[in-house]
Amino acid sequence: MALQLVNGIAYGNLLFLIAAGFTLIFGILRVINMAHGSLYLLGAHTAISTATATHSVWAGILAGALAAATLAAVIERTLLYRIQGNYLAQVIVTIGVLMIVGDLCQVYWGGTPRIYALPDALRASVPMGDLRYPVDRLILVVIGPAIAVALWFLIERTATGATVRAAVDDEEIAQAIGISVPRLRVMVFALGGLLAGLAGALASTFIGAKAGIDLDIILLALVIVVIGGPGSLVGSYIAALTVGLIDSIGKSFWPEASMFLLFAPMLAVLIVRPHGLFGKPPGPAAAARQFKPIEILSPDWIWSLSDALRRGIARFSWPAATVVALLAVIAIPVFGSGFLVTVVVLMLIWSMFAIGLNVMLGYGGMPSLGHALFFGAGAYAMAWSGFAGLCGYIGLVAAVACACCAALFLAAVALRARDAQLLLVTLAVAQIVWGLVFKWRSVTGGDDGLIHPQAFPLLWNGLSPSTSLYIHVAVAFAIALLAYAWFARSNFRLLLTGVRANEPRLLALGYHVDLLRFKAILLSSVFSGFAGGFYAIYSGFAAPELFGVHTSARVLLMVVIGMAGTFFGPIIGAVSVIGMEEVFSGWTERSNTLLGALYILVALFGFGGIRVVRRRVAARRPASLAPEILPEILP
Amino acid sequence: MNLKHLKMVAFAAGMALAFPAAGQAPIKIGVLHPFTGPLALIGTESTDGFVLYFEQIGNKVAGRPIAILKEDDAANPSQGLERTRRLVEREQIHLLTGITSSAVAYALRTYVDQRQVPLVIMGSAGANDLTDKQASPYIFRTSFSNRQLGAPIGQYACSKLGLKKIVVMASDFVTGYEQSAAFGEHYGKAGCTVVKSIMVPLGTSDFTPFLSQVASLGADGVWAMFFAADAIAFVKQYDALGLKAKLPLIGPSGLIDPALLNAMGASAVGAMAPIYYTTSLDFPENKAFVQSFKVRYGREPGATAASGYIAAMAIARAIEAINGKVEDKPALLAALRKVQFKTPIGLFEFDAKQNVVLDFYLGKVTPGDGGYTLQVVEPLEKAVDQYGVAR
Repeated sequence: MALQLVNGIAYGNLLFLIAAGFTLIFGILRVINMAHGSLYLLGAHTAISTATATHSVWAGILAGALAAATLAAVIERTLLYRIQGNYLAQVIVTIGVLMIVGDLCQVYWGGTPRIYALPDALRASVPMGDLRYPVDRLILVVIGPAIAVALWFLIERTATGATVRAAVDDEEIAQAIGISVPRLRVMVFALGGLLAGLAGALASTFIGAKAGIDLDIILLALVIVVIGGPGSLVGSYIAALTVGLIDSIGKSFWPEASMFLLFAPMLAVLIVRPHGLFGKPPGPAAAARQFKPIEILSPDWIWSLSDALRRGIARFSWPAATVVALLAVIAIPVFGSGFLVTVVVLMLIWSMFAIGLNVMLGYGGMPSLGHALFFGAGAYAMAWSGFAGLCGYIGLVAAVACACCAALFLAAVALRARDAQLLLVTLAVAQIVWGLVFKWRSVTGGDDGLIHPQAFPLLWNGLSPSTSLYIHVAVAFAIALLAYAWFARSNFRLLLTGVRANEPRLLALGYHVDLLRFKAILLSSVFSGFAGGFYAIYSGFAAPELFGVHTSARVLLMVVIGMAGTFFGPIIGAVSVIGMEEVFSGWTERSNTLLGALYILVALFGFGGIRVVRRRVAARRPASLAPEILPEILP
Repeated sequence: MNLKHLKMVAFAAGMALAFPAAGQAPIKIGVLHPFTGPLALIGTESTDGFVLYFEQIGNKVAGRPIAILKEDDAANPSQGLERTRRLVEREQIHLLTGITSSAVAYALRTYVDQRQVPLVIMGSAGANDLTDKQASPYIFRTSFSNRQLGAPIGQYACSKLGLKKIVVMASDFVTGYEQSAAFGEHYGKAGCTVVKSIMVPLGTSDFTPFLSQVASLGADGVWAMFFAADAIAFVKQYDALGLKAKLPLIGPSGLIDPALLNAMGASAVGAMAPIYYTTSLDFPENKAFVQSFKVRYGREPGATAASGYIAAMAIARAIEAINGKVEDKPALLAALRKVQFKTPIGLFEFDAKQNVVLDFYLGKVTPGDGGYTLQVVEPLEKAVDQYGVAR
């Protein structure tokens, strides 16, 4: 028992190091740093390489921490600073960095997991019960509190800490009195990176550096930050120790529940106290920011061309789109190859999924990093309906119903959250369900997924199953589009726009804003669950990663690429992303890097849209009229 | 078309130009393996072995050039299915190989069967049902089935090693369940008891909480089934906690695959497993294989690489037997079923349900010059079929 306790405390301190960086970055800069795990990974790899090359453990730890800090500073200064205040873009950028760094680390250091082997002189262990506990882990019990105290001292008692707190409280005034906010932001981000890299370096003797750990780390940080309260160091420390102890003791006495033990406290906190044990409740909602579009200066003739195009689209978009769509729908199965049909089916399914997110994010202004929750719910419901012997159409109803239940669950927890907090909460909820599905093997098949017999009936004999599915999906997509159009022309959509643009005003007008948001989440889940049901039939099975971060990030990218808040946006986004992925994977094995770069580019430049403007008339030199007009005033 | 494919086809095109009489359409073989993620180690090893054989025979079989197309499934069933669709429908491959994850294999099973794509599993997708209850005439396996891997040491551990009570630890997914079940069954039949069975989530980095109770269970040893990254972390922590000194560690061959031994270091010394391949096996084909592998890749091959190499040999034999006419699927399948030839692991053949028949030896990790190797202690069982039964 002593070993379990000590291990729990040591592990808890390691978790604190990881979470502290994350919570500092979130609390001070309001950035959800999805690349935090990448900083950990880089720190671990660098530490191992340096320590092996120089035979010095201290050099390794220093190198690992500094490498991560440098990368963090670079990320902040070059990428994030340009999109300050746009938390959604920042999340997408950091997801892109996560993908690129993960891929490049694999290229440079290979896929073999690396654990640093301490030289024999340092490989001591302390007897504890029947076993021995290694000193390199025991030392965390001392390092953790030391760093916690140092951080507290830095933030609360030093001048630097005071300037950081000032910049957080009121950025404009802070800048006005001469505090350099850009430098501050870089410093804080670098500090967060330093902590992550340090954690990676310290853990390189037992956890080491391996592919996939960047995602594990970000999930751990998420659990602790949600429990402890985003932005609170004290909360992070207590939450980290608690989670470490629960993890260590729970796993040794109840190994089957190990994954769930991590998420249950997070769920409990979300339900009882959504802003964490030590976090502050969110303040009143502010009016939404407007994003500046990118303006391309062009000569007159290009401008008139693009203007004519724009007006043409505005007037003829509906009839033109219908004609094109009808032609495409008929032409594809007849003239296209089997593979093209498959790709188009996938595009249609993801379009429906993206439409769902667009309702919530684009029209409702509620960013969600956990939309895969509805997709997965729909897919699994369809799979289970197959096992129950129901026909495919009833399975669809079940899929939508299951997604609506998930929406009820999400709304119960996330309705009051805004902006960055909402992103965090939706991610947390999706992860909880992912963990549940992953672990509950008897019902969900766990990690192996569910291979289900569900399928739509063949429409007429002689039709190949893939063409039959194509027809089903095309008809479903048409129905979904009609529902979507009905929504777009409704009063509800106008009200949602109000909620997004200026919530306080709508509240003042007497509208029940929370109810509006709830309805938006529900409607959104209907579309996404519908898509999930079809996906289950398309792929023939349902697996836990349908609930995972990558699925949520992908659909988020689609909506953002296509411009959130426009009607055809999600469809264009889905088609573009799937098309690009097909093309990328054909070019190179490094498609993850290319996709990550795409995420970053879209986040940096895609939010305001692109607009073509007339070249401005060159400013003339200001005429020096003043002395003649006002001779008696000027000296 | 990825870059590797382009190079292969360019090479083939060049050959075709140089020898116009031999110019024919290339035979396309798809390799679906994880090349990213935690199982990337296994995917890369397996592909290295596979590609090596074809390079040795000049990338040509029966006069037709061989084009190898690699796709990454990241051990993820959805991605695996998408990439397989791409390989079959867009690239029009004639044959699919690879598959490291049993979950991916199960996900592909229906598709491969419906589309009539010959699938030769050469990676560690050992799921029992693939060549048993869910067998298909299109699915072959040259690596192993989970029962095959788990069973051979069961009786040996009980009778010869004297481990009367054992703790079973395995990764919590289908392979872990199947291999530990096979071991438990044979161990129990020999008269000994499994004291406790601990399932650890796949991808665990910190085994301390799971290991901390093992010492107090009153067992004589531990049988552990872990893969790749998990195996490395497990073995190191097993030693660091002082368990290695108290309880002998045994397991299936995946635990001490040679590709992992250097990362494990001294912690692995003394661990034992039933293995079907090691570099010191005394066959002439093995000596040649080890030599060429070392020259080509600068490291020694492990069982995974050997399985890949053997799969390539089997495929090449089958294609030669039908004179390169891979489009004739029934003929290709029949030829594959009948292959029987000498490989680095001895005589190779499939059993009635198209799973390989293997000979097992007891392997032990020992320090060697420049690293750690698997030494053969003694032969265990010959001609073990997929049910773990010696024929």
